[in-house]
Amino acid sequence: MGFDIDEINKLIPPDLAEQKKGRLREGLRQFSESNNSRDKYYTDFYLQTSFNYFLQGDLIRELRFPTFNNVTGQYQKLYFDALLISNTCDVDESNKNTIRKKVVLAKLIPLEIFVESLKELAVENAAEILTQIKNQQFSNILYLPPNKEKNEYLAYFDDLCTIKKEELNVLKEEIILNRIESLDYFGYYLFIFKLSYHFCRLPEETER
Amino acid sequence: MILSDTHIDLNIEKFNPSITLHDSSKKKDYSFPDPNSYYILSGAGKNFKVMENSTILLNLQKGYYDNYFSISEVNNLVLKMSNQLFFGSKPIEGVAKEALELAILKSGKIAPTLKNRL
Repeated sequence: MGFDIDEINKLIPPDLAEQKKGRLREGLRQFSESNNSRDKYYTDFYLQTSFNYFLQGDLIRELRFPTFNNVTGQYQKLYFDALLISNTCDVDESNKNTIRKKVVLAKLIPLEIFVESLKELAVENAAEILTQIKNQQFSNILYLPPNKEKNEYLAYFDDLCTIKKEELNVLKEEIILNRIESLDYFGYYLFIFKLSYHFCRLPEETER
Repeated sequence: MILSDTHIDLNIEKFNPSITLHDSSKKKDYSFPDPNSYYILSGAGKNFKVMENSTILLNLQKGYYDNYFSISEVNNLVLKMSNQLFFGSKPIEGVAKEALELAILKSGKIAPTLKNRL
């Protein structure tokens, strides 16, 4: 399946600077089938500027997740860095809803801990798995390239939780500290396309 | 959840003014209100009872059924592009998934280091 440049153009905001449009097109083009096995370049993945509110796709520090403990058979409250899955306007506190909205989050797993785990389990094809991850070849994982702190993460779309919108928005007080990064256009579009593919692919491979 | 007007015959295909049911056929002769799983948000609600658990979308601003969701050209393009970019990719599995689960267990913190966390 090829990459149709005309179609991506329809999705790019018309007032976006030409340089950003070009980077977005070229960034996404890397994932078309003909380029699939090549290493990917993730420059301009994160925003250089900082907004004073949370954006969809933000990487946020230390949010609570209910995590099932197989030993005790109980849920445990653990804190993970998280990727904001919810839409920006759904998170905005000025957006008053009749029913309170909740914020959907995905766990972020530091890549270095994943690499340690591969070693610990003595996985033979660890290098191949890492290449697949960095080339975005697992549908339920979004690889997040090195950020300004030189950390890489995996966002796991199959392990989501919600918190109250108010609970997230209180973190705006120290948003510089609480937010790790925001996604720039390339990162944001890649995130949305991958999220769409993971949750909305049709047709199903089964009859119902 | 299906809400029905207690004074309206559900066998009628559509009725005015408050709620239009996606499938208006009456499925069972009994009802089982569940106060934990539905919302009655307007005065119009007093005449309604829960008939069964299913799905109905209510336009909460207008107080009547309205379909919020539609596939626009942009939605269609997003889905098409996502298929072009990730066609053939599969969920992580096998030893890679085991390693991921182990990494999740290792990366969770019992206590936060930052303030304002519940």
